[in-house]
Formats: sequence, structure tokens, C-alpha cells
Amino acid sequence: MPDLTVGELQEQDLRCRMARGGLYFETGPFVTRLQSPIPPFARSFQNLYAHYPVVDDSRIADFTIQMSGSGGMRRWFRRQAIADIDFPTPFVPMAEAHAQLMFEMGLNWAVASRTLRYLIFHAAVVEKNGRAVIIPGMSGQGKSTLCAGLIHSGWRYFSDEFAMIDFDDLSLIPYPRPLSLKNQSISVIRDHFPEAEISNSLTDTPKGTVAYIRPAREMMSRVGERAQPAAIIFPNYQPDSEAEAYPLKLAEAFLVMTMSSVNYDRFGETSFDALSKLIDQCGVYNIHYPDLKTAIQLVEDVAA
Amino acid sequence: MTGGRLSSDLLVRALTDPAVMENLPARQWTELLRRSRSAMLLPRLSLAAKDTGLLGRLPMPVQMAFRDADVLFAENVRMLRWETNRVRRALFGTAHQPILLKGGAYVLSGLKNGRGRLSTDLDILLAKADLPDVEARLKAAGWKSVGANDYDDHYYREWMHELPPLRHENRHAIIDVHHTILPVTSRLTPDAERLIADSIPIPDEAGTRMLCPEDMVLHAVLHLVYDSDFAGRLRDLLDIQALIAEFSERSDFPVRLIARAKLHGLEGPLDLALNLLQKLLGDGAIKPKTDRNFIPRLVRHAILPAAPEVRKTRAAIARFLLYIRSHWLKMPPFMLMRHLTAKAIRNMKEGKKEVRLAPRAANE
Repeated sequence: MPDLTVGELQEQDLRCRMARGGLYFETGPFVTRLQSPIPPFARSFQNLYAHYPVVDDSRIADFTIQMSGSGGMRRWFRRQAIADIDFPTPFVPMAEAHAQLMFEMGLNWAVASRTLRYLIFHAAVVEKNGRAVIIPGMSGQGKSTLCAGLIHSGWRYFSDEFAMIDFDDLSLIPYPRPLSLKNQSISVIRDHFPEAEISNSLTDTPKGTVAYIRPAREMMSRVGERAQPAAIIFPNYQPDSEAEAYPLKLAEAFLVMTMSSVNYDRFGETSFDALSKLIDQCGVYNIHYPDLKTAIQLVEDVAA
Repeated sequence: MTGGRLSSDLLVRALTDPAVMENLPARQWTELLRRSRSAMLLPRLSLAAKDTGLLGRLPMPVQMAFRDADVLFAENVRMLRWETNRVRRALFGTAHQPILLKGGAYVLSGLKNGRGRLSTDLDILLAKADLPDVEARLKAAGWKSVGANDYDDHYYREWMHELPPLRHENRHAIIDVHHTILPVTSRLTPDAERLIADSIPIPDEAGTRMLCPEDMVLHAVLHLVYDSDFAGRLRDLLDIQALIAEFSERSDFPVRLIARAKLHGLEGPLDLALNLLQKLLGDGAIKPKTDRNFIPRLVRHAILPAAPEVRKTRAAIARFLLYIRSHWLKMPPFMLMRHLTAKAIRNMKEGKKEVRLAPRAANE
């Protein structure tokens, strides 16, 4: 267990760190350094990252994220926030009330564009009995909802956003972050899992209504333990469908995985070899389901 | 802030004397990694650590960051090779032989200065008379002019030394097609015919050429002295230093370089660049003729890391002055006013800054 977590910091201490040299905290294999002068953001950040280990600046930061607020006239009305990640981004400022979303997008962008030590897929990852399941998905196909369902049904939470794979042994590296739910999926998870720790909803964001699940203390306890990938499952939520799981052909699986990757095209032969081995090692499936309970059962069956 | 040296800059020190990387405290590493990334010099720092056998003794997060940087550089080399290959294919069957400029030439010709040197795009040079045909062939092969509104298009075609940037519709990589190395509106006019006539073939890339060593240095000089983009300034300065060192294995290189500058009418920019090398990097390999201090000081402020607030303001002022200067050198005063006004109006209308993403920056 870590010595100190974000949630244990006094609010004054947290704000001081953020305003000066930065708050250093661990997210999976990375140390992130966060600077921000925006008080409401400090509160929402402390709530969502409560169980993340705080480290000090005797550690080297992998990412520095600088949040900045409004200056000039904007100081007085319609305050905004933007994230600076030492790197050109296409971000435009968002409303200050959406600063948390801005931060999450900033850190995601930094990880996706700069991390070339791992092969990364845009996917959720969960694990049970040493078998990890990769759940890729474009927005809206049910990736995050299914992931949220699984981690409240006995699966260990690895990631909601990135499946990070070590080139040497194809192991998956846990990278748990607050899990983002959008629109209808917020109430689905509230109804099914009242114990889930869900944040207030951010409404009218560029991504619609967004709420975050705070990773619970026990979800963070084995964050250094990797796992081998056992299955890749593409979720397809369809209200009127029958429960169904079918395997993809190798070539088809390879192709859709290249499209799910955020950095496959940056390694040349290395990533071709790694993805070939990954596909050989895992079953790759499409699943169709009419509701969350069915989807969870399908994942149990396929990954068993 | 007396003395103009950049030796206070940790990045410059780490590059020139990699031994300083051993025993750096974590906080300095965090800043050094950030600064190297934004100056596009992390791969070069990584190579410096490897070449001196330091790598295994550095903290693990640094080794991992260097691993990222090595992959980034390998990707960059692959991009340069492949884009060059695609250009050659698009021009196949014609007599056009593109002259690769800057990073493309350093990397593909195997110059030492190419090691760890990142490029944002591929720059090529061809005779002005060939440009219409070259442009048509590139467009037929899938390249499209980038974000060209009518004003930009006019700006490039009438006043600049290159076509509007071309981006490939599938691969998104950008090529800049030049017909000389300074805007046609500049007061100085290097001899484009001699640039082309004296260019030399790149050994392993049949059908492509590069500038002769003297012209290659002069082009890097113009880039440093004229460009209004600051992200790459330190890299430009190090380019010149490394190229001069590399070519000076031939003992008469300094003499040839100065003679060549005279031929192109570029003694002024060369002299300024030599001043910058001497004052900012302490490199007096070739002595400048005159002693200039004001511009070196501005450049120093513009490329230093902007950490504390005072420095930020100073850097902003220096950058602004250099920005104005770079345009002043490129255009007559009336044209300059027109250009800056047109750009300001457009920026106000669009309410955003111009950002040119590195080709691989965006993945989502």
C-alpha cells in the first residue's frame, strides 16, 4: 500500500502542490506531474484520484500536464480551462466546469502520442485468474459500459482507455484511470451497480454528458501486476439482438486490431510481429448482446 | 544576463558533454526531458547517452523515455525514406531529380548530423521552370495543397520560394517543394542555378541529390537566421555546428564556405550565424568577420527554456522582435505591412493560432 494517496492530502497542501512545482502522482507505470491554478478542478481531481499514490519530485515525471484557466475578461464570466502537455494538440478551451474532462483528454493525448515503449490499443482491459481480456471499441459501441460492468462483477480493472502491451513478452500493463461513462450508460451502471462510485455528471460537454467512476481502493491495490492477454472481444450492443459470440478470421482480426491501435503504424516490422503473435495467442471474438448482464456472461464464457 | 552563452542551458550542456547526465537530480531530469522534447532533440540526447556508454547507468524512467525517442527517430527515418521513394515514383520517367534539403539530406546521405535528427516534413528543391510539371505529377499521385485559402496560395506562389505545402491524402506526410532557399521577395538572392548545378547525387538513393557541402551549410544558416518559427532554432544552430565540424575534415572547408557565401551574396547571414555559434555555443571553429551582439542576445532569449515568469516575458519580446525581423528580411516594408495585416485579420476572424502539427502528432 502506498504511503500517501491523493485523497489523504489536505486540500490546502494539494492546491499548493498544484499551484507550484506540481502534484506528482502514479498512474500505472507512469508518474504524472500536474500543475493547475483552478480550485474547482482541484476538488474534482482529488475526488476521482483519491486512491492514487502521491510521490514527490524525487521521482522523474513521465508527463507534465499544465492546466490553465482564464485570464483577462474571461476571469469574470464564462471561465474556461485548457490543458498544455508540452506538445501540439488540437484542443480548444472548454468551460471551467469541464476541466476534469479537459485534463483526462490531455493526459490521454500525451500517453497515446508519446508512449512508444508499448504497443497501445484503444481498448478497455480487465483480468480474472491471470487471463486478461482486451475490449477494443470505437465510442458508442459499449466498451466502457461493459468494462464498468465487468469490474463490478469480480474482474480486475486494468484500463478503460488503453491496452498497453510490452513488446518483449506481450504482457498487458495495468493503467487504471477514472472510467468515463457517457450519456445513457451512466444510468445503466447506476441501476445495475449502486455500489459504483460515480461522480457528478458534466453536462453539455463536446462528448455529451460525461460522468466518471472513481477507481475504488481495492481496484488500485495490484496495479503493478501484469497479465497475459487471453481474449480480444469486440462489443456490439444492439437492443433487439440475441446473445451471440463468434470468432473472427485471423486476417480480419489482424486488420481490425491495426485500426484499434493508436500507435501500430509507428514501429514498422516490430509491431507487425507483435500483433501477429498477439492474434495467435488470443481468441478474437465479436459479441452481440441486448443488455449488460448478457454481455458480462458472454465475456465469462468466451474468456474461460 | 551578461555574456551570451547557452552553457547555462542544461540541454546544451548535456548534448555537448553527455557526462553531465550522470547524477542529475530527478527534478532536473524532468525539465531536461521536457525541454529536449519541445526542442525536438530527445533522440539526439538518447544517442549521446548511448555513444558515451552512459545509458545503463541512467535512471529507468530516462532509459524508457530514450527508448520512446529511439522509436520516434526510427519512425522519422522510415517516413523520410518512404516519402522520398514515393516522390521518386511520382516523378518516374521524367528527368526531374529532386534535391533533398535539410533533414532528408542529412539522414539519407548518412551524414553524422543526421543521427537522431528529427524532421517534421520532407523538403525538396527543383528548378523553378520544372515546378508546374512536378506539382501536377505530385498532385496526380495523391498530394494535395494544405489548407490553402486564396491568400495563402497567392502568398506562396508570388512571394515565397516554395509551393504551398503538399500533404498526401492517405499518408498525411507533408512535403515542401522549393525552387530556391530564400523567398523571392528577400533583398538577398542566392544563385538558385548554382545550387542546382553544383548539387551532388545521394549515394544510396538513386535519382535524388543533395546540395554541395558549402550550400548545405548556407541553407542551414538561412534557416536559422530567417525562420520565424522558434521550436527548431536550437536544432538549427546545432545543425550548423555539426555540419561545419563534419565537413571541416577537409581542411580547406572554411575558405570554400566563405567563398561560396560570397558567390551567393550571403556573407551577412553567414557572419551572423558564425557570431551565434561563437557567442551561444562557444564554438569558434570559423571566426566571424564582425562582432555582433544584439541579435545573438535576442536569439538566446528566444530559445532558452521559458521557465520563470520574467524569462517568459523576455522570451516573448525577443521572439516578437525576431519574428518581425525575419519578415522584414523577407519582404519590402509595404508588402510586409500588407502581409501581417492580412494574417492578423484572418487570425481574428478564425479566433485561433496557426498550428502546424507534426505529421505523427495526431492519432485520434
